[in-house]
Amino acid sequence: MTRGKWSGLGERIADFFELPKEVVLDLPQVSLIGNGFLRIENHRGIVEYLPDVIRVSASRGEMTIRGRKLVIRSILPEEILVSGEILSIELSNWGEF
Amino acid sequence: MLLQRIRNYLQGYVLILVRGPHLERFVNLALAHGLRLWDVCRVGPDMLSCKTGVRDFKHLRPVLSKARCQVRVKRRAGLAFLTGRALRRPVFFVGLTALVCLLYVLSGFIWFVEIRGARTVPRTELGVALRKVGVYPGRRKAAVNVRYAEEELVRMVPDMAWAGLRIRGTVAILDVVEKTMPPEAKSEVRDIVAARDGIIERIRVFKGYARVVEGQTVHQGDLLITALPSEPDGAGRGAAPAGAAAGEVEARVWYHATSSALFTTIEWHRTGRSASSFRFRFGNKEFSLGRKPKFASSVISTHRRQWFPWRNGRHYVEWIRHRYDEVVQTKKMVGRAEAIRTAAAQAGQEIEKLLARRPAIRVLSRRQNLKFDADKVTVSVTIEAIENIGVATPPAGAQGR
Repeated sequence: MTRGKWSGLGERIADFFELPKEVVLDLPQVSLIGNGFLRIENHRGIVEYLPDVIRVSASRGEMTIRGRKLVIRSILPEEILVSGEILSIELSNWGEF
Repeated sequence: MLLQRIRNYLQGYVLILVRGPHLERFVNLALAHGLRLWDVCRVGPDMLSCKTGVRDFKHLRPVLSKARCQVRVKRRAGLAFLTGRALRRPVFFVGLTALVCLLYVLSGFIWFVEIRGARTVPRTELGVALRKVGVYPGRRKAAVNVRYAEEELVRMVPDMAWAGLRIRGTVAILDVVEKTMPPEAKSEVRDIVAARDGIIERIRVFKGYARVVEGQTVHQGDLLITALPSEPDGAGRGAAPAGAAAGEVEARVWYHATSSALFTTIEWHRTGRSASSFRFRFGNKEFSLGRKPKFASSVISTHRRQWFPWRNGRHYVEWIRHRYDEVVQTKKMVGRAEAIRTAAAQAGQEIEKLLARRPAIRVLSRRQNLKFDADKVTVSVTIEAIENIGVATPPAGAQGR
């Protein structure tokens, strides 16, 4: 409850000052280029990696990328770049703002 | 990304195979230790392959033991490893470096000289002139002053109007434009000959000796008035001049023009169907895009779009569109009288064209004949006229007499 309250405050501050929310609220930012490349910024590591599924941990929950022949092109503390045939992206156990 | 790749190549990297039950943990621990991994690919249920820098690989050991994984190096790549190999085979790499340096040095010289466009100017003369201005095989390219060489070549070879010198790689190419000399002066013309067949009506000799008499039939090229003093003739008047023969030779001549007209004419009509085919030219290479339409008959119009203007108005890149408009033919019957009129008008026009080129001609009579065939009529027009048929020729010596 307390967390939700503070997050709400952070959101309002970000809105008021027009600040990027992913920075202020520590949220992941996902960019998808066609269905071949996916960039996840602000991640918390890999939970599971298989050729057809990658689960990535983020600040508010977990992100599941499903596809075929998935390869982690680059992995850095702030960013993961995935290539392959991406079919879906799911968010699970996602906390509220 | 590109800079990253270049850095990876320069610093060297290894492709490793990691085997263990907790591969995700290995990746996360590597991240936590600040080690860079890329091209991470799952290759088996308990194995993944990835690339890492040489420096990071040295710090991978604690991460592997924490994640209970084993590692095997599959491939080494990058400049660091190449250098290592080079240090192990110094002679080979010294030889390679020497070869590259030698090629570089040799490419700074002219090894071939090519002459283009020389037809009458001897190539040996051009070769000597080129050598004098410093263009010859074995000469350093940087030592050649192209503009100076071009100006000097034009000065040194009198039969050359323009010289263009360019150096492409190790080849010096000389483009030559030769002078076109004017025709020989009229004062050297000696004899007067018949320009066409005819019957001599009147001959007036101003200089030289007459070789024909009035009423004589002459053919094209026959000698009419000569200036040769070695052949005195009774018809000549006085001593022959040293220069040209002169005079007027009027003769009765005939001109013919024939034209036919068909009793059926063919007209072409556009059907309205059209198609296009495209071609793309890049330099001297042309690529065809699309097929030609399968019209039995068509009118083709070409449209060109050009880019990158080159020298002499040529464009390097060109987009060519051929538009095909289908046409069909229809036959139309023409009456006899109309066909005669058409053929006579065409023949008349031809005659008028002939007469227009000869303003001094005097027309005596005009005759018209008709000839009928199964499918056409032929009209012949004949003109009888008086005309000066004498024309000057080059000197007798020039003709090999």
